[in-house]
Amino acid sequence: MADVDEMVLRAQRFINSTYSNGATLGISKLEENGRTGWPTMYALTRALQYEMGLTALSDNFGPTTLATLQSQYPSLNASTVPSWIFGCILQSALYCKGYDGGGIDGIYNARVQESVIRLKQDMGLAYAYPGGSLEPKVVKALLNMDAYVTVNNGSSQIRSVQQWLNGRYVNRRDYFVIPCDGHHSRDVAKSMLLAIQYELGMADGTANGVFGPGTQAGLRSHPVSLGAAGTWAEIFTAAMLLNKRPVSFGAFTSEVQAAVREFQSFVKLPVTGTGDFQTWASLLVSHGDQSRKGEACDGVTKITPDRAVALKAAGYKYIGRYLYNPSSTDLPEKAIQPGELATIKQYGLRCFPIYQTWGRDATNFSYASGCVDASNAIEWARIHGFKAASTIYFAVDYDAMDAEVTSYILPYFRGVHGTVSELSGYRVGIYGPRNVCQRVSDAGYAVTSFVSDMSSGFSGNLGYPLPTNWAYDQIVTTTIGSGSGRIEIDNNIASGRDIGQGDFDPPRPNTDDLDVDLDKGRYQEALLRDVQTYLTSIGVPETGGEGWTLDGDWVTWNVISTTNAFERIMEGDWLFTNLARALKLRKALIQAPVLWELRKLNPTDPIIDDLVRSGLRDDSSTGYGQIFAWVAIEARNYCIEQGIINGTPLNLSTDRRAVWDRLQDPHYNIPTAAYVTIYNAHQVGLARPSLTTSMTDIQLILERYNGDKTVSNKDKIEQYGRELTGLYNVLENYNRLSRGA
Amino acid sequence: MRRLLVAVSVNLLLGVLAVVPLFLIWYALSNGPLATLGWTRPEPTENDGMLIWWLLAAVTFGGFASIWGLVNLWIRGRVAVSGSRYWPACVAASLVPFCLILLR
Repeated sequence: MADVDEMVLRAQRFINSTYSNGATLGISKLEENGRTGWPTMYALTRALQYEMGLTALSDNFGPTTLATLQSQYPSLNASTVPSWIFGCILQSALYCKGYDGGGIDGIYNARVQESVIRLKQDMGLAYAYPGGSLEPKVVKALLNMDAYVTVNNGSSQIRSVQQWLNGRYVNRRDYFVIPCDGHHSRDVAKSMLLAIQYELGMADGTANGVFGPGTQAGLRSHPVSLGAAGTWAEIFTAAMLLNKRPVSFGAFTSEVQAAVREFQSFVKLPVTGTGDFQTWASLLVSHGDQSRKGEACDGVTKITPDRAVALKAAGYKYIGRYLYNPSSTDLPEKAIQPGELATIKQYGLRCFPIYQTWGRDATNFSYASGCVDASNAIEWARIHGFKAASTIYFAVDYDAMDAEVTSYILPYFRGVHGTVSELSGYRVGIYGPRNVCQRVSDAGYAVTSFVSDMSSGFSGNLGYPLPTNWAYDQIVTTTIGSGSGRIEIDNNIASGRDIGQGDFDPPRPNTDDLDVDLDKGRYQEALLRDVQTYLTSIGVPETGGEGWTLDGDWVTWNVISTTNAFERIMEGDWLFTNLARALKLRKALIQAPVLWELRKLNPTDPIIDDLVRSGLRDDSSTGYGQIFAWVAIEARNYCIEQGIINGTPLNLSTDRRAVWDRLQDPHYNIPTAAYVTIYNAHQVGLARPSLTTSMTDIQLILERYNGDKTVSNKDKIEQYGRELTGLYNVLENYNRLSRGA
Repeated sequence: MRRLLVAVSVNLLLGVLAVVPLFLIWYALSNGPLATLGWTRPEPTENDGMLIWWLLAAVTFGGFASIWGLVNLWIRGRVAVSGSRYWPACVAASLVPFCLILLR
């Protein structure tokens, strides 16, 4: 394997052979894979603790380990390394960090010294800790996964800041070496606050890296402005750099002043061009100066006329309110209450809608849940009367780690964006920490961000600048008004990118008769049995054809059984439900043709699809619903023309192949089957299918799925319609039970 | 006569194999030209054209015909029956399984 490092492998073997395969250190055998990782670093940390005589071994290089190292070996070098094993641990750590350890022989030789000098240069410690000895804080920094060289396109300027911080403050008791990888992070943000506290004269033990009252008071008395030089200017420009502002580290030059003006304008601070307290605060912590008065707020309390008056008097213009409350017991006024939007309008306020269900951990987020949430949000926004072009903020109300954003949040918003864009005129916004907002927006899934900056300790806020498309910046919870006008709100700074809605459509009634997800626990098995019984009754058994006859169903033998087809329909039940609710038609009208076409797949279907893939054919009936691309294009264009869905009309000659490719994805194919159904109703001269479409019309719509019987194959098409209508009835029976009708 | 019976028996067994290519030919015919003439009712879900079915039928029938021919040439060399009796009997025997299914 290319990424196996021979010396890291030897380091891992050294640990295993010296410490009884990890047993001596209280760990299991280290995997000998030649790759540096936390397990190896933890093992080396434990080995060091063991060699220093500590009995309670831990993965963490904590205060006890550091204090012991400081007292026993304040400077490790050729003359002070106590044993060859101790030397081997240091050499192994150097190799794991990517430096030459001079072999793993326990000797603190010249190569080790050269590597240590280079390591300390990379850390910015060349002057603080000159020479080739290892000081305890350097050893601590050696035994973690931080990088001291630029990685993953890190910024060389930010690396300079990191090195400067390390070099200047490493001798302070509570300051530990931070990575010098060119990336802002939680550690870097904390070290910036420590730097300010040290410069303010706070003693060790008092300085704690928290943006508390003492730090804030100190910053108020340390504004920096044009011409300033020295440490305060350096810390200020460092903070600017960490917020991705185009300045040079060092003095407060005119270039810095211009960048400060731009920053202040961006975060909606008074544009002064000086590093005043509010600017310091916005650079250092996500919520900035929490005493700022915002023009926006959000809350879980009904806006009554008295509260509207209080909000207006306090300078608020934009009110964030929830479209829906999944709990029937908690926060009874969390969702928009009847008549509330009229009050908001009457008092000249504006409202921006928020949609949140249970978005408080990663498992709540997936592509499917994004589609479902989007459909529900659309439905609720229409019920409340929000007009098209309103931005709905979908909430990520927890500290999502970067990897979770990739694996859960982005797929969720792909579903939200696709559904909202296609099925409504609304726009998608995101509520969440900075990193989440920025990444989702960069992916093109959100137009504006509502940033949960109040949670300044979130990993997703620490070390990340305010998202470029921020609309609302939530900075503090506060209470305004008194008596009946008293209301608790989250105070938000507004950028003006979204100003909510000041006028609303009349509220729509909540349609109770729409389909819901199948109650699988109660009905799935029975539904499968009924589907099998029905299909068998019309000559389509579990697989293949019926008995020893030469019917055409034999060509489906062992391709997709009735159970397979049914299971695929059940996997996509949420999508069928979603479409049925959004399009206000019966779910079985989409399910029946898709289930039928899946069951009727035969061996030539994939062969013909391959011919299209290789360019030998232009089109084929393909995917779950066995839909031709040209049919999909016609159906989608019809629905776009009718305002049923949103999108750019497709062109048969230029878009056919792209549409055919997309039809391979069930998440595109199944909605297309729904649009084809609507288009079919139009083609046979019927009204758009609805919840009250008659069975006669349903049969006509279903048979049109197979073609135009007035052109050819009338008998065949009518047979198809009859068979599908029977299947529709079986499915609808259980859908009706699930709706509780 | 007994030797011809052996050959017929072997061809009855080959006829079981013949069901697959003959079915494919039947499927292509019944969904293609025979349906066009109105003599058969095509499969409602068959809408991607019959070319692939004809190709499949040709390949499987070709394969079967090769096996059938080689087996019968080998047997023919060992039975003292005239060709005018041998070949029609063997062809008829090979069609029996398919015809039985067709007539059900």
